[in-house]
Amino acid sequence: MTAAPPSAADAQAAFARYPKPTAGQASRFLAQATFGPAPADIEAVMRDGYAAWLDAQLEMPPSQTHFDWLIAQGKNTEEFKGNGINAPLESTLWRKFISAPDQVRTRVAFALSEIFVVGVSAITASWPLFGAAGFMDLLAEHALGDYRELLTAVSRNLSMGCMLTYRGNRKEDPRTGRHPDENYAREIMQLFSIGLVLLNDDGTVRLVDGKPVETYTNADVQGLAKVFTGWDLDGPETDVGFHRRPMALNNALHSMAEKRFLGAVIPPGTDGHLSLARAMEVISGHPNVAPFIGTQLIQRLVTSNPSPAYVARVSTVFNDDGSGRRGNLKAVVRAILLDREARFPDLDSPAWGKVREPIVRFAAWARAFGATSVNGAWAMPDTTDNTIRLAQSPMRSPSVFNFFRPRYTPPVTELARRHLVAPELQITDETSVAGYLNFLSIYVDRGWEDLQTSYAAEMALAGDARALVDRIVLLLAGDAFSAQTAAAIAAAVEKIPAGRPRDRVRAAIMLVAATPEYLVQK
Amino acid sequence: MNRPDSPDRRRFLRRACALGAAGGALPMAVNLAALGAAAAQSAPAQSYKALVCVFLYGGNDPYNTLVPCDEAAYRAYARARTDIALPRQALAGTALTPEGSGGPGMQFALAPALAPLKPWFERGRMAVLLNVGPLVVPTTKAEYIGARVPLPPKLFSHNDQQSYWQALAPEGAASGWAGRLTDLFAGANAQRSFTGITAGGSTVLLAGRQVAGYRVGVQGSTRIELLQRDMYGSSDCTALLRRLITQPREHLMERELSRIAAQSIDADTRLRAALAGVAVPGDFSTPLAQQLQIVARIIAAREALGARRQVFFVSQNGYDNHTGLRDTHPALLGELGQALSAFQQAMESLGVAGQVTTFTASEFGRTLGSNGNGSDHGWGAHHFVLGGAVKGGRYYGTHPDIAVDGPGFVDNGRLLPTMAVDQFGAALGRWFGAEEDELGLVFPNLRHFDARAVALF
Repeated sequence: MTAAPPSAADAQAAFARYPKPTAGQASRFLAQATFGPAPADIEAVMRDGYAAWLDAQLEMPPSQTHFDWLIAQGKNTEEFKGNGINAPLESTLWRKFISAPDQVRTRVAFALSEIFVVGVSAITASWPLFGAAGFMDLLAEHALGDYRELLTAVSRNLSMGCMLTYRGNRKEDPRTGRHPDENYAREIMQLFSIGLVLLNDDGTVRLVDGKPVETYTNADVQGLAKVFTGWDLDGPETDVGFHRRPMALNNALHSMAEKRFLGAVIPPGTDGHLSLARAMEVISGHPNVAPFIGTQLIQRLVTSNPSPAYVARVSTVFNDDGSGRRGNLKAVVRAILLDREARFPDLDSPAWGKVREPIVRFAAWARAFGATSVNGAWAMPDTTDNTIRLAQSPMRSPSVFNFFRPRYTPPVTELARRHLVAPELQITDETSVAGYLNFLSIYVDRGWEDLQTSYAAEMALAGDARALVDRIVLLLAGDAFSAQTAAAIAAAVEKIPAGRPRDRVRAAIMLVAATPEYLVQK
Repeated sequence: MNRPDSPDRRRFLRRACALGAAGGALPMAVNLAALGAAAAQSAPAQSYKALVCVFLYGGNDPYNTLVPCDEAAYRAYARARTDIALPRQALAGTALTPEGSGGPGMQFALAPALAPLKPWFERGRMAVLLNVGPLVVPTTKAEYIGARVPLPPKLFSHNDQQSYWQALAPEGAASGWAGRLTDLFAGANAQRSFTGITAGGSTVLLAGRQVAGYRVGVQGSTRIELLQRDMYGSSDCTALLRRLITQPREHLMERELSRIAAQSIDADTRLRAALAGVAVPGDFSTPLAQQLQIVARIIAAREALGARRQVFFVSQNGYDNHTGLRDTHPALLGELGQALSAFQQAMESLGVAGQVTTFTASEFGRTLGSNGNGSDHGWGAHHFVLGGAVKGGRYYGTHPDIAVDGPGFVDNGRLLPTMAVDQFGAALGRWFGAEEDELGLVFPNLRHFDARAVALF
């Protein structure tokens, strides 16, 4: 067992005492907290310190929503009503990843989109791109809010109702034997809240008589399924507005039977709104939520294998933010990003860190080198293809299990032998490693459509290969990149004639971004 | 596990010798390659065998795949399924007439969308397995309800039951049963990396003790374009890139990235050469068929690759039909039936029909009853096995009376399996060449069942 974790107040005091970061430390922090360090943000973090910079971010209201941007771009027309014409979704998602000022909120919302997973192709309503965009907006709205409110909003969301098929779900019919659809009831417990087995606050599996204990049975699923009956879209599909409204309840289709799950009993005759509120209370109050959700947020932002003590510190904040509030996600995000394990890890540890997600790699390139849309269109691609793109694309997971699983361990590896996980390696294979490099070689060379950069700051350094590489390393990898590798890259880049500075810049970026040292975020 | 004197190690050496190699320094990769090359020359062509797993992600609905169609059984089926039942009149063209006597005591028809498979059943090239699923020990309904026997962990959970079908353990399993099976034949192939190949995404099925599955795209391997030319005119940059992405690393995740990149480059070179000019005729236009086409091409190139034992993995998504079952499911089965038929035809054309066995798998069946317009996660389900070596045209296993409250169903309409995944897998493994004691190592719960009950071959 670990020692009792410090209280939230102790942690606050400790965060305030952290020394001002170096440029490399600031860059590494920004890789965890945002879609990648931009030069100005590195300077700001160095100037203000981690906590002050982060608190300013956490207080920022959400920037322009995806939904509003799509409307402003005139995408709410008949042309985009059907599924399969979802390209503007990429435009707005990448727009915010790369350029949103509320970077921490945007990054956390993306992390949540890999826990509360909706794929745009599953949205069985008109204008599915607005459904997916609205869902990401919902995650951004609640990303720094209250977990129970987030869970409730997700549960009422039409896109999720489509994804997990409870939109239009009807109460049981004893005459025909029809039972309510169990899909959402199962996955809200397995994936969005408590997981399959009881956990300790430090994320380790709680053993009873030496064995794990499953958190729920099939009977719990069947009982909870009755809660998610009677919900469907609110209003006509004449304009995109219905995607912003929570699903409406039709109590005539809602099960009025007794609902038993997770030890709770909702008495017969309870209506849909009350049943939902009670279910959200029961689920979000389960002791597994803190370690289950906390661990996954740590994995999405910081490291694949946090120590039990780190998870326990985050769970403590989840369970009580210091003012008696449970599920305060702003406090949880703050605890994750400012934790001493995140800020001062042993960078030489062979297990620390995480494989950078392909989506984040691409966004980080744009942010590091100031690439932006030259005409405001953001004509970004679906990046799912694994032979020439990223094997991952936002809001396009093929199932609710995301592109990779939080407990994935690549078999037949030292990681497996040490019982370590590496979720992102689930989409890393002989094809996708080539696909990433093939995509990298395109966008570093010539951007993507209207996403362009002049590499002005880098061009200015191109005469000095060592200085050029040092800058690129700082922007992409922070203080976690070996001097030896940097020197080797500089030596090779120097072989490109100084009269071709742009080629030197491109080659240096490609070489840094191709290395395993960069690909594993420390 | 892998002690130098373990039975499977001895057998491994014996097999290697039988394949025409001297056994002296077998663990050396270079000698394994030489061994494979020697085997490629000396072993008769018919010693090649391959298994092809077609995984139906989402949990295929068994009752709208293989539909009870005699009058009494259909009546029970239609009563239980209400709005999601297939109409009986649609089944006349795909009703199956099994060879021999015995059988499940009711008549079945393939879903109409699976019509392309009917000729293979009639020709004895396809068998139907009834009610197979994860089990630790033979289990009755009373034992399930009373939790009186050990049950597979995390039943009804997608990812865990996918893993169970592929590895006989829930998510996080270190190796898959096909990987453990191919470990027994490690010396048979010139290229260990071409032993387990997936065109259907990441899978634990192919992970053995030494290697996991090798990933191909539907066109074959993917080339790193940056390595094909000088980077901005600099051969130094290109050489450095190759070194940086492949050199061994201390960090465990970096190490894995380097290993995969090195493997990607090496395997691409070899596979690209072996597949050059290799075409397989047939209609392989759908996503599933495209995966099966690259499998067929690799099988066609088996001699150039020095392959004697291979397992392939392909997959089809979309079977989690909680809703829209009547709309979505027939389209999926249509793709499945056409693709399996085209692949089987290709195997016949290549003259390897008897050496390639294709089987379906899926994480679970689904509820018999309707949830409104779909079905929910179940347990047991029916599956197909195709190939020239299969004693086809018949059913294997049993099917209970169709009654939600009867002894054959648990938890309100979930088929309680009467054939374990271990038994199904063992039948495939035995054909592949594993011996009885080896099958016990590959399939951990086989000892609790009649290991030879499924006499598929």
